[in-house]
Amino acid sequence: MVDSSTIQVYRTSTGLPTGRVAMWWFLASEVAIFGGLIMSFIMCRVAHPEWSEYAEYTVNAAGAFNTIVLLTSSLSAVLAHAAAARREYARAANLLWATVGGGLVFLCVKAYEYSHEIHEGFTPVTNLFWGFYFFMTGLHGLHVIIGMSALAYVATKVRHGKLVEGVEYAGMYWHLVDIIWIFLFPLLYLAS
Amino acid sequence: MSAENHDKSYIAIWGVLLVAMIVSLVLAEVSGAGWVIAVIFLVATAKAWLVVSRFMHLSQEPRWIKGVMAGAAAVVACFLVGVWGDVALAWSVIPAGQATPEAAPVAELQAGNAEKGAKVYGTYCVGCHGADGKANGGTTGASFVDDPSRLAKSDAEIMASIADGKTGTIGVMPPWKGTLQPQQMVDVIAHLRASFGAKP
Repeated sequence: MVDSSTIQVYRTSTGLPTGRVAMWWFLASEVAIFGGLIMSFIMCRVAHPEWSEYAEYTVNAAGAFNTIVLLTSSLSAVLAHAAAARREYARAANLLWATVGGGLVFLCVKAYEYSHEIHEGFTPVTNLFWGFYFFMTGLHGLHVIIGMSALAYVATKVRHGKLVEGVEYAGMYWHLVDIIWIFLFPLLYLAS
Repeated sequence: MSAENHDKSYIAIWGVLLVAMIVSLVLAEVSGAGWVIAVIFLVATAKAWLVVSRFMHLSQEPRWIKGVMAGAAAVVACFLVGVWGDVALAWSVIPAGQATPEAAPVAELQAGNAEKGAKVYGTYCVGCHGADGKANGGTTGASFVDDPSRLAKSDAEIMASIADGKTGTIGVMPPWKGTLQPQQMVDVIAHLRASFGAKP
């Protein structure tokens, strides 16, 4: 049996695991996608002082709670990575499932917020602010779902000592999802 | 990756992140002043940096990996710096008081319509710049035909000249931002390009 706990996927040209190099490049492209979106929002926001009134309608408490949830799920992801490096695969799998659970809580709160806002009459076509709000949080939510799927898949594998390097890669993706939220929270909730 | 147990340091970083978030939240509740918002975004950047360097272990990666991520951040920064001027310009030509949700924001400007622009030109511009765009031999204004560099400028630059006016060797062109709507300026520029010059 191949001992997949030793990561044997080094490329001599870089001296790094190929998957991790690929992950960094992929995350760089994500930075450009969300960065462009966030910068566009900031430019529009500066030109529209009256948007602060709309930001009053986003629920600060829900956003803050979700920030705590994502920060904590990032902690469990990095602890899973550390556990996998120590070959504690069952612990790594459990921590990954905890991370997935954090994503699920995040989505539930987000769903509550969406329904609350739509009931108040704020939809993606209400104005540019709400268009940005639903697009940015929606695209972020899509990343949460993709991240949860990747984490769950790796969790089922790593329990049996397989796909060990995937713990780090899925975790990196999850941390990026966390970072995006770190910026979306002040932009859409706090700056009012 | 060493098999040492770093769990405690990860938990400590998590604690710092939570405290930073609470600080931002309290600041936002206290005041909406510009400097408070600036501090909140500095805190957010610091949090993101902690996650990238300590949870994603970018600090342990070789230089060129850091370069890839720095490059991505630089692309975003270039986008902001490069577009900011045009955005600020577009907003400066909208008369104060119209920048309300009801007013058509510049983002919703239609592409320039040369036919409509010709009418605007015929009303406001023809007196100095002439029907042929030669400004009576360049004596009453800038000739678009004899000096192609004038239309080689970007739409944003020409728009700035129309909005704010210009003082040059020939004389003074008055600012038009109180008279013309942004859409009219865009249409006039389309007319200039269609009739007197090629698009850059």
